[in-house]
Amino acid sequence: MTPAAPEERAVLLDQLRALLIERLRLRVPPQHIDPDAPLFGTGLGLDSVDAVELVVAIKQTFGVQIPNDADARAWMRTPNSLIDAVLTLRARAQ
Amino acid sequence: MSAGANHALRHGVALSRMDHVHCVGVYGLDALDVIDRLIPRDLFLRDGMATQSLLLNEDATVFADVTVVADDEDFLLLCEGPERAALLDVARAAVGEGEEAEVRDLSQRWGVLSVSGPYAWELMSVYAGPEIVGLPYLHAVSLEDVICLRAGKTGEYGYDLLVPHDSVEAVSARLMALGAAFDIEEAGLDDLDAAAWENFFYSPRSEGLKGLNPAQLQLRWRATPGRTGYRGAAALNPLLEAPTTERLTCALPESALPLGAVLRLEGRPVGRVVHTGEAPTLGAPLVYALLETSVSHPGVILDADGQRVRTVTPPVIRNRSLFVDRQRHRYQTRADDKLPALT
Repeated sequence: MTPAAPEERAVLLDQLRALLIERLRLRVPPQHIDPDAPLFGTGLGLDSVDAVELVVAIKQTFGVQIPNDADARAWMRTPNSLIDAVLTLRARAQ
Repeated sequence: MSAGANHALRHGVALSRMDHVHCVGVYGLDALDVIDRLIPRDLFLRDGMATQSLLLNEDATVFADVTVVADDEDFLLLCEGPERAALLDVARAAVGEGEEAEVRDLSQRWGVLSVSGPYAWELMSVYAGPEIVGLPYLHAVSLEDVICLRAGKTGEYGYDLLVPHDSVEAVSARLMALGAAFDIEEAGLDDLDAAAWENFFYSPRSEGLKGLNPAQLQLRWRATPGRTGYRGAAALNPLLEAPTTERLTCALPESALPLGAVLRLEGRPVGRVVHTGEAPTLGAPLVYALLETSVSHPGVILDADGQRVRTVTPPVIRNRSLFVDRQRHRYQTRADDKLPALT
């Protein structure tokens, strides 16, 4: 995991929550999206179609492309794991 | 905790007796109204679908961990946490006067077995036929006199089997016999709980988590904001509307920490350990801490009486089930399939 200050992660979490509500049409207030809640299945209820939209939205919002590989499966689990992905992919690009 | 059972859970298949799960049925024309008075989550379940939720105390602390299964117009509740009698009292108290609904204790009728592991689906296909492989997560299907629910709380493929009591031993023996080809092991409640902890699944058996509410536990997703009329709603709704002040956070200490250990950041107390244990796959101590929200992010280094404690993103392992492709992979070919390491 690429280290980041709590303040930086808090900003990314807020951006991700907004993305999930606006782009994935989650009908909950932002604070209802817990950072370690499961994104798919029973948790926040996203499905495989949402996964595609999520990858596109992350590219547009954070400027990183979630790869279609083993890492992606682990990164797509929760908001916190997606933030790990953003930080890791940004660090790799530098 | 057994190393063999954990290996089976994480690499193959494990079978568990789920005697700690209480099975309750809610029957009748008004069954949905009764469920609505128990569960903090809106239910949109077609026949055979299931969802995870909670039963709350009036103060919004967690009373029971519940999976609700729709059975035509009726409902099955698979509950963990409270004693059976207390659970039935709460469920029966939700039946309104004159309503056509009945709460039945099904624990005498059904025994519950669980098949878990990255190749649980393959054993189940041998046991029940290949169609079972297509059963979606949180869906149930009837297999003659057994109800099979795809669920699980280990981070791996999981199937809960509701088996008539007089058939439990026979079904268990058959699964163990068929499971020999998968190096099946029996996994006890301690093994299941340890696996759940590694995956940040809630377990009602942790003493330190008793007295916490869904907002603190990161279980808001098991409730629908703004819903009213269920047990605990008056206390929970203000908590769901307000910003979180403290949050359950996963952390790795250098060595085991006691329950209640105070965690500090730059000398300032920011939280305490509310669950402590071992992550068996990681082979390292694991704690859950209730931390101030401002520091409850992964990657923060805290201090516990001179010991470094690093907050992390759960789960702390890469579950093999994430990478096992049911179309291409088989237990017998696992060595050649080059799946990612678990840690």
